[in-house]
Amino acid sequence: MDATVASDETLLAVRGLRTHIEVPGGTLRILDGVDLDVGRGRTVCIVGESGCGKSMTARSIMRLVPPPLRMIGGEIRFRGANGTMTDLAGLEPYGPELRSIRGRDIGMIFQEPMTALSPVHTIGNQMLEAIRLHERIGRAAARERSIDMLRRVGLPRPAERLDAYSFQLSGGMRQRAMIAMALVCGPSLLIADEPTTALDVTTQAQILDLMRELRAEYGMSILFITHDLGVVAEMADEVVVMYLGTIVERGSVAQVFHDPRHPYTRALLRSNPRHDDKPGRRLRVIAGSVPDPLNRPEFCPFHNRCEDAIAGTCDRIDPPLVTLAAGHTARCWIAEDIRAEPDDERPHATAAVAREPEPGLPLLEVSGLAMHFPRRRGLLRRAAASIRAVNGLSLKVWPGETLGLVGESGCGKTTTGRCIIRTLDPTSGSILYRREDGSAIDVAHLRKTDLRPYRRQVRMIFQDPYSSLDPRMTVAEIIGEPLKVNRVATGRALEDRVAALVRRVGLRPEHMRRYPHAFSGGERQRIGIARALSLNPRAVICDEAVSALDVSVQAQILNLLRDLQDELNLTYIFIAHDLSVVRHICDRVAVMYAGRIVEMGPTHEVFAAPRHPYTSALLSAAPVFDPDERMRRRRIILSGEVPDPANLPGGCPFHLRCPHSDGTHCVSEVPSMTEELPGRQVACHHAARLALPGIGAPAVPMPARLADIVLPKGSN
Amino acid sequence: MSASDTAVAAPAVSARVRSLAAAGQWRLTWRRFRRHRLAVACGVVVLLFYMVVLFAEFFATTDPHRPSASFSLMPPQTVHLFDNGVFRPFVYKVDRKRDANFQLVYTPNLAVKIPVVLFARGYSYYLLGFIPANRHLIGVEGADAGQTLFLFGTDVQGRDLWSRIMYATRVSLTVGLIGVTISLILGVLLGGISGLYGGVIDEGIQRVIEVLRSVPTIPLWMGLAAAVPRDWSVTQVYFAITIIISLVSWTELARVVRGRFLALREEDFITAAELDGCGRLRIIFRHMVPSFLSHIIAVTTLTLPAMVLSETALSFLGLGLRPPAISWGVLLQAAQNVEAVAVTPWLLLPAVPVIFAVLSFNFLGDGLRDAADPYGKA
Repeated sequence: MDATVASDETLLAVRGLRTHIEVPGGTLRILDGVDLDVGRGRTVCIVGESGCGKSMTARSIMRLVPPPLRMIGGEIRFRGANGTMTDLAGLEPYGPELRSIRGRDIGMIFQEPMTALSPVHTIGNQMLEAIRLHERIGRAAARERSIDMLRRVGLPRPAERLDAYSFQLSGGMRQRAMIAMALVCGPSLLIADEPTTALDVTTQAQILDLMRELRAEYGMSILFITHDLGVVAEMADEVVVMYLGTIVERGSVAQVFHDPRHPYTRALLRSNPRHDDKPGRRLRVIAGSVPDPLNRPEFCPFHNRCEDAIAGTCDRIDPPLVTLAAGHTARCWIAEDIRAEPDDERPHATAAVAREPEPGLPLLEVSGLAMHFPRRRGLLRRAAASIRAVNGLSLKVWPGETLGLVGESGCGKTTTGRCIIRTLDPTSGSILYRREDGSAIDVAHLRKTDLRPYRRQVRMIFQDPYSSLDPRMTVAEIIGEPLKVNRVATGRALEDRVAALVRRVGLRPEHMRRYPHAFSGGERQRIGIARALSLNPRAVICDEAVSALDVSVQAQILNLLRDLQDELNLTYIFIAHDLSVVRHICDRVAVMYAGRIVEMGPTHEVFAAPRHPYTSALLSAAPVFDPDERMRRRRIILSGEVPDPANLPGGCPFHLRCPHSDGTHCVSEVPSMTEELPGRQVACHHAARLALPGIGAPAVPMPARLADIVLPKGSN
Repeated sequence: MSASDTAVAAPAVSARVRSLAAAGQWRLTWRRFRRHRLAVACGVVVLLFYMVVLFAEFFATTDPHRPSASFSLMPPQTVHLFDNGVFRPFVYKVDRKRDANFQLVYTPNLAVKIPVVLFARGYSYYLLGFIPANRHLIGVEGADAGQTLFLFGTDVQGRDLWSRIMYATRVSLTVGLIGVTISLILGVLLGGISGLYGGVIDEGIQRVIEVLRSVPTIPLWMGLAAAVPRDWSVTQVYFAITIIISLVSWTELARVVRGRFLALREEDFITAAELDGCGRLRIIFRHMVPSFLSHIIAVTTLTLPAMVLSETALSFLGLGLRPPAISWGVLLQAAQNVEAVAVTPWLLLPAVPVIFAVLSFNFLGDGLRDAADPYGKA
């Protein structure tokens, strides 16, 4: 297949797409008149928060709307292989014409590769089926093509992988296999429904890179659906912003990012924490949350949350589609008059600069923490290998600061948090907790009964707002439970304390008698925060507390956490994988890899000038928020995947993927944490001599060949 | 601290959304259950059955234990609703003759009309065991019901089948209830221990369950029922039968409970409760039990028909309850021959309430199970 030059030819033109569902309360308008165009060879990103209808747009285009939802109107004109436009909306959803288009002319990849691939068929079975449904070629030829495609997507040992099952592959490999399946028939349009959301940052970088290469090679158009604005800035040529089933703004990526005109787009861009933010800057938030679809506001769907809404117009008359520039449209009354505003300069209550660690004794001192889960084999359950989740971790947390614990999935950060809070019993190591009177106690090996006073002082906020609250208890009962169990208050005093907590986290005390199902994700997380604060703790461990939330809600919760810390002098251990969030809220950061800390220090220093190759790679893998930046930045792509904790390599755990590994010292000896500069610790044999790029480092011009981006390994 | 941007704007909510917000688990379950029309209808039927259980004597027309040789094997009488155009239900008096072959033949005597009324006086009994009464739902006026009204015909001893079926309902359905209660206690206890403690205890209990489930049930019951001494009283046999049946059916519930415990142990809110300082008992009863209570109710409701069928089968085979006890199975035992099917088919009528009861319980249980977890984690 030779690359087709991107032209102005339209490949897909959608007009007025409407998908509804009847529920016992009325009609939910999931999609309410969606228009979009995808040109040949162009990448269009649909961006929006959860519930805005982006996935449903993809499904409606493919005519795969699951009942009871129904597509009730609209035109989907697609240019097929023969060059003529057909209206997909007029075809039978399971008729032969549409089936021949699906898979051959339009390919689709999904968010969760584990559920999108059949667990009972091998990868080869699925790929061969895809090929032979559309082309009359023999099995051997189809196999050859599949192996070729798997090689092209970067799957190592493709011939073996063809006969593997999906559960035998890791997340990144499964996603590559799914991309291969979608592309094997050479479609002209690829619809990608949040393909990298479930992946780690470094794996995401690999997959996005792969998609860019394939796009260039095959001249494909991509319809990319995502909620991550950083990914949009990386990949998109054009951006479509959706809210509650309507398109609020459309334009080229430069227009939407540099000159957003719809209030929702502006608010979305503002509420994202960015790499180049001033630390301590307060995030601008969008008031309220995405309304229940049955309560969809009439006329302009955003008017009840819009700061600039004009009463009497925005809520009475449908906003018009305004053309702002060539290819840039917005559906808003005030789009033409809005101009760029300066950023919110309001700092948080305390100094805008990262806090220096206070002199004095640390609140928590972890030394040599190890957590090994034995793998039991055989009938008698003998311990064979162990899963070494945490391997000799040491850190200190000072009172009043926020320590970030960053890493990808499988690095052991959640396990560390659980060990510190003692829901797990550490295999070895010590966790010294310094009480208010100055005395220290090692909680690592205390029995559960002795942990009670410790657990009142160190609390946890969980990741999933939906499973961390008992659905069968009212909010008042949930927040009052720690108070009741610890006999802190009863009766009227209890109620008053709970009401005060509810008010402090920004909820209304009248809603105390409600059950968690009545609240949105962000509100539930506030309830979780109130529960954590109910015993007046000294430290709170936030275990990915904002990871499961939408961007605008994330901003609200981050501001709330910061405000509470200022007010109550709390210490946070903030576990996260999103680097921009960590940069925003954490004073110091510890980067974890394979159960060890590889680098630790003040956040802005670590981010600007990392000393460990993994930190540098992690920082460069994070999607850049600025569409212009993506052409300039040199990206470090790591090969391979995060190691399996049951099977860690000897020596430095990172040496197999490290571009700077020396092949001898790195392979044999585990580097220990050394403190080169005060407050900065690194675990690398070569930290002293390496000069690594970070965020905010001077831009390096992009090399002409893609192959130059992957830094050659030192041992070559 | 500026709470303005961190506070949540209050949207205008309808009354319906407000009430849903404050609805606890049981309200939500009821709301979902209500939409399942068939289940609600069957729920009403089940309630009617249990009304009969409580007030069996009221629903009967004649004393079911009183034999009467003169009315042996009489076919069911038709109740005529209109007497010359007027709504006045009646039955014809039945004359008994022996024909040429000395076989009893019953013919209605069209001259004598016996009116059928509601709340008539009949034989005396104790309502709910202690209130003396003699009114019955249906009866005849001016004549002895024991001589004239046989809605479902009679059996070989001349006892009215309708009344016997009413009394049998009481016995059969209470066997089900008691059996289910025993199964419930055993199942929750053993399943809970199994799920909560895990390890060797869990393994042990699971293997016992598997052994019990793999034994074929009818031979097992036959063996156990045969071990019941013949000289035990009716009540003793009754309790022995219920215990026998529940000894096998607790396994289903135990597995469900164990599964729920295992799943719940991993939930974040249980970890949060532990971190709040809750002791183990509080976690079990305050946090875990409400989670699977609705499931248990659903499973229990589905176990009842199995119990009823087991008892009916055992008694039908002569291994369970025996006369003079009356249960559906005992009544059906009288219909075990070709003569019953060919000549006196009304003796098979006790099968009808069995079918109705089992079907209604099944549909009700299905509806409850579908509505049971309103949070969708079935």
